[in-house]
Amino acid sequence: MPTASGRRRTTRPGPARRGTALLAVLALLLAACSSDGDDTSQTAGGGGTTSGGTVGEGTGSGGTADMSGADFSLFGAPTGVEGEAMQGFIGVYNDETGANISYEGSDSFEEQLRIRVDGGNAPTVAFTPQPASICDFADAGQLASLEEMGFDIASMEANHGKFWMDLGVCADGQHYGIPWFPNYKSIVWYRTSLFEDGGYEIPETYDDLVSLSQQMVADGVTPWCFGFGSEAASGWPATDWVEDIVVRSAGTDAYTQWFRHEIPFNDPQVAEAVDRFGEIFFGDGFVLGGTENVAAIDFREAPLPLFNDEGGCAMHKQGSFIANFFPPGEEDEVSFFDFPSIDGNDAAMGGGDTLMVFDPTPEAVQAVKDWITPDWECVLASPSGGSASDLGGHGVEGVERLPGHKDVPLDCYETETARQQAEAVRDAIADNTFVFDASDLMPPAVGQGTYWTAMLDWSRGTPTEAVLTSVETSWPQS
Amino acid sequence: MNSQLAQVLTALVVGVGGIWLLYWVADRLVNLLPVRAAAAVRPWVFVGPALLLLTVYLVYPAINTIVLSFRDRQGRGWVGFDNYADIFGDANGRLAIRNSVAWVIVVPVLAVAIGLAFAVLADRLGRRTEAAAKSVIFLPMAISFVGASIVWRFIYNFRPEGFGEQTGLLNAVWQGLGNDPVAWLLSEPWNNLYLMVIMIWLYTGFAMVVLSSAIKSLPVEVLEAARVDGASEWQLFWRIVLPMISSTVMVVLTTILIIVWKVFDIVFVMTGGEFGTTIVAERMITEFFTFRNQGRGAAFAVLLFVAVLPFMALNIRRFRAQEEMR
Repeated sequence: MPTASGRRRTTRPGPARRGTALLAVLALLLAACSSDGDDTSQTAGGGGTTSGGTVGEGTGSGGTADMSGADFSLFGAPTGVEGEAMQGFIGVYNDETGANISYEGSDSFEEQLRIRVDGGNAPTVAFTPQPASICDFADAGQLASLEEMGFDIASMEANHGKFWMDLGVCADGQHYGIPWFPNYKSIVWYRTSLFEDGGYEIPETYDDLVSLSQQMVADGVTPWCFGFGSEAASGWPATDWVEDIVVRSAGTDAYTQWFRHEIPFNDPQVAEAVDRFGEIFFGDGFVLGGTENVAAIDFREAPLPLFNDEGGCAMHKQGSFIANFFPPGEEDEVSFFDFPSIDGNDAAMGGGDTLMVFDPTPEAVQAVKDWITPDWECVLASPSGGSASDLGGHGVEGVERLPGHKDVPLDCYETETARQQAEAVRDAIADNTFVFDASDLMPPAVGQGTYWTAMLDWSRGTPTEAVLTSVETSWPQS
Repeated sequence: MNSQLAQVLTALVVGVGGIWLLYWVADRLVNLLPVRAAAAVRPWVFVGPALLLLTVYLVYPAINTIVLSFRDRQGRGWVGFDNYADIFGDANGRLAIRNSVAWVIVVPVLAVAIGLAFAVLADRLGRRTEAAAKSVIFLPMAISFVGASIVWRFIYNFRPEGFGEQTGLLNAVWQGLGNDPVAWLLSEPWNNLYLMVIMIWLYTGFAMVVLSSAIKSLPVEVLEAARVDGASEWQLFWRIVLPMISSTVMVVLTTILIIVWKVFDIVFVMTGGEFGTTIVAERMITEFFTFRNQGRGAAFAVLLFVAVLPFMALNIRRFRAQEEMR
């Protein structure tokens, strides 16, 4: 099952399984529509409901336009408590603006969306965890482009990160994806008592991380827990390591070229990143249970030794969703730090939900523009919206969403955990170093096939050069 | 719930009633024809719908799959034999074929051998005990491949040192014998055998039940005559029983063999085809649905189809021969 929380079960097990971050957040579009309000109302001539400039200035309660004509459905993947949080968010929005928007979540979102669109029953607005699916719809002429709807691309790239915006650029060169809320995987969990007792410091750089691991081994502590097992999806946890290293050591541009195959899969920059991962993975005594067994350890069980009083491990890298698999009641024994920098570069790797508009009525466009403002992302951020929200929050305990806009206040969050992650994601978005998991963006034959196999083989001793070359030769032609 | 029930009932009534009506009307129409013409037409009228369905659901997809196997990944342009060349040129493709061949040899032979042994031995038990023993052996047949795989995941479970107590049954036994725990599913190439065991466990019961009924239908006089002539039980089995049930053995063997060619669930659930355990049917599903490479998926499907064909033919010929003997 690789699903960390059932909601992202999608055709491609990609981010689904990896999970869904429990925490994610929202964003804004401050300047985005200020000058283009007129275009917006033209699009569907929905008399007077959208009064152009209002949102532009919308620093206040994010868009105060009269939305009473907005009567449509928003379709997405979250169900369960996360679905309730979406309902809560939409409820606040409806109350505030007089709109009558409904949220609908589906466990089989990808399939259902495809069926509804093909059946001529497309939702007005949907948000997908799979950015790769956006262009399928766009290229078939089923989506409205951001240019057509009057979004300000330049300011969106500044606010939501160019990387994420570029994921929605399709064959005609126009933008179709609207970044909403991300999830975050560049996290290293650690056992706090071990760090306190050993006097260890949170590593700032990757080299520090390596020397910290050596120090631990010298002190008789096993530094790392790994687990690459995930049934038919085995191998993906290893790819996250490589991606987090590539984006830092080679940069966002090279990262993009890599998943688009504009540079070969076995480019020296990638090989160097894998070898760097090897400094930790194959470090002498670094890995609990031995590297040859890592492929047999289920990723859900991999963090458990963090909680052992003796004979466990000190650190484990995995997305925030893994907290769901911690032993109940013992969650406080661990904390996390951001994956350290490499050559001075920080970054954040994860995924995210991207909005797409099928039917650009003025109300729908207005609503979407509102939702990605810091004000409304703040409502979506936590149950109460923290001290920063004038509008409250979505009202569902335990659900926090990370910011998809660089200006979402950290005070929107209730927990320190979410605040810490939100800060890392926000900074990365501002620097354009927030990237999506590359294996989800590669063709499935690689990203869910040979790349996983390669990392499993690598973990069991096949040399870096050989495994990377095998992935390169497997890259589908055309 | 109620509306679902109503839907099911409506579907049943409309479906069954509709078919009945169709045949009834067709029969009436045929009756209107002159007698000789009616006699000639009637069989076709009755077989026609079945033939049509067979064509639509079986023949057409089969031909379409073959066509698709000569096209590219989207199923558009022609690529000739490229998909097949890729399969045989790719180490993983060759491995899948090798593993599949191993599966179709090992699984049917062991399932039949063990099933036959049980059938013969159970025959010697009292009636009650025999029924009970056979039920236990037959029970796994009721479990789906995926369900069985999950059960066996627990048996093969392995935890490296530091990850807690071993919970896998096999490792418990293995450790009890004084060995270190083993990551069974990672131990190439033996992990293939460990996966085959699951299938054998599932199908031994099937072989046992069919062979047992064949043994029981043997004429008692023959066996008694042999015993009177001083044949040992061992000789009785090899010289009398086995030859007399040989056609049933062949049918069971080929039936299991065909099922084995097609099994993919076990491998998919247990290892996802990693660690050198990939097989043809698993490649087919993965290429087609995960990698969305229609051409190569179809080529694997055609390989399976071709591999199964001779055994199908064999099975049908055996079956006919058996029918004629009756």
